[in-house]
Amino acid sequence: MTDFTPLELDLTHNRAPIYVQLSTLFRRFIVTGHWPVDKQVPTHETLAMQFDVNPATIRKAIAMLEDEGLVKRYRRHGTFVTAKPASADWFRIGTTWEEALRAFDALAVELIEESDVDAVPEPFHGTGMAAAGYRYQRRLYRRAGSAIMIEDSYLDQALRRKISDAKLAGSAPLALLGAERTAKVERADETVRFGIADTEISTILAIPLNASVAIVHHSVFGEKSKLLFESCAYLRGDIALVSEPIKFGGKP
Amino acid sequence: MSTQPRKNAQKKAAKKKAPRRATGKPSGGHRRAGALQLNHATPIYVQLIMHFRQQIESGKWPLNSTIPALEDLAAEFGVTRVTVRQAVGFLQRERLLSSRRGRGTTVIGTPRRDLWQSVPHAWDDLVRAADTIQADILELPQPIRLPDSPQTEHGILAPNYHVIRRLLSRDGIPYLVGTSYIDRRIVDEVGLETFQKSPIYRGIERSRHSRAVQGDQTLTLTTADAEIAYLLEIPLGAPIVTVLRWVIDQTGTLIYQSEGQFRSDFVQAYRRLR
Repeated sequence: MTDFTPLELDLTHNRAPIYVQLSTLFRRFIVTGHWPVDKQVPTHETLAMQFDVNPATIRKAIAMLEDEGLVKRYRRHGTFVTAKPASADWFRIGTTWEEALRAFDALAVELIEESDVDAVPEPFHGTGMAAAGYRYQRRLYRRAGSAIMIEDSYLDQALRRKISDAKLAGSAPLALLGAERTAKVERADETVRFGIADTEISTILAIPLNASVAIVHHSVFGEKSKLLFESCAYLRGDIALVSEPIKFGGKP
Repeated sequence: MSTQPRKNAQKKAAKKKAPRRATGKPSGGHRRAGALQLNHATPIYVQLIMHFRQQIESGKWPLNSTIPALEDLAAEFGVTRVTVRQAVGFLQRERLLSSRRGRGTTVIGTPRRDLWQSVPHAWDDLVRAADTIQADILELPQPIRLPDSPQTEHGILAPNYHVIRRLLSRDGIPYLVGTSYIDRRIVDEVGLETFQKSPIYRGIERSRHSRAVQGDQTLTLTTADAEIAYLLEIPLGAPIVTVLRWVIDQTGTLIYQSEGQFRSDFVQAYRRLR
């Protein structure tokens, strides 16, 4: 357990305190099982020698893990791993049309802003043929009371008129597009990107500024490549999950 | 770089513990600073770097414009000028900002977007994409933090795995640390040099005994630990996209597992849903 390859890691490269950096490594050892649960971790002196630091620095790093409830220190018996960090309560980003339509099922929807616009600003997957006008809407999605996602969407006005106001206010528009059979969908594109929350997003989602976010772009095209729907959603990064099978046997 | 005085803010951040949530992540113990919230989990200057980069990328600080005076930024975030200057210095080295005495700080570049690496989800694309990726590959020594064999519930474990760990860079910017576990029998069959000189998926394709038939992948967001931050030359705690892959052959054996850790601003995943 203690036979690390000599560490070719320059901890002075980063400006963060050494003990904070070490605690991120030790946390990783626990996550990967390198330090198994219920087992003793190497002594502070051993670790101090391995990482070429003062034992007091190791103690501070371990103390951070103890505060997280990952290890427990026993006088004279040493430090033991008590638990792995709990995995997040994931929100799965759909990777097929059916999954994308169902993704919003368990979420509470709140329409917080809307207006009529002439065009979709910067359609992510290309314009195709633009509709005469779009309904812009901003929705906040909550799970168990907590805001997890904010979505800006643009819906072709011709389609928007086919859907009742109540339905449109209380549903995810993408789910409506799939369920209502209001439109002949020829193509739907999705791109997932990753970024950080700016002032606006962090305020709305009640997450810290610079917290990571997953950014999900959807574009739905109808006949003659008409852009029927465009959306951009910001999802809390700590719960964002893409999980999918790898496809085998040529192109679908 | 390491001679800078350590920031009190960091020390405070580490000492001041908020009660933990079940996720084990620091809870949102925000500090209200000016109009903006900074969090305690990440060093202040790192948060400033990320925020400033975002201001540039979003166009709020347009190219060739002069950004607010450092004093004003320091006041806005309730931090010292030294901290702001550290963040600005970092972005100067990234060639996004330039400071000239008496002239203020100017935006001279925008974060590169053309470096984005697409994450495919078809085996053929993985094999083919590997050939088209223009990257400098640096073989890394054995990982310091991974167990010897893959930790997985996917498939039957092979008797042994060969581990390859690589740092990939484009245009001098390191963007991916990839750790691959390959069934050692495949490595023995097709030869180690095949894997050292060519993409790993292509090497696996050459096996006549094992055929990749099934697999899964996940993408999640994590933060850079000290090792990843060092290798990718990014701040500790910066967002990282972790891509895990498992590949199983016709006998149900886990022949390949990988963990890729990308700079989060270098990754995107495109799917044609319909």
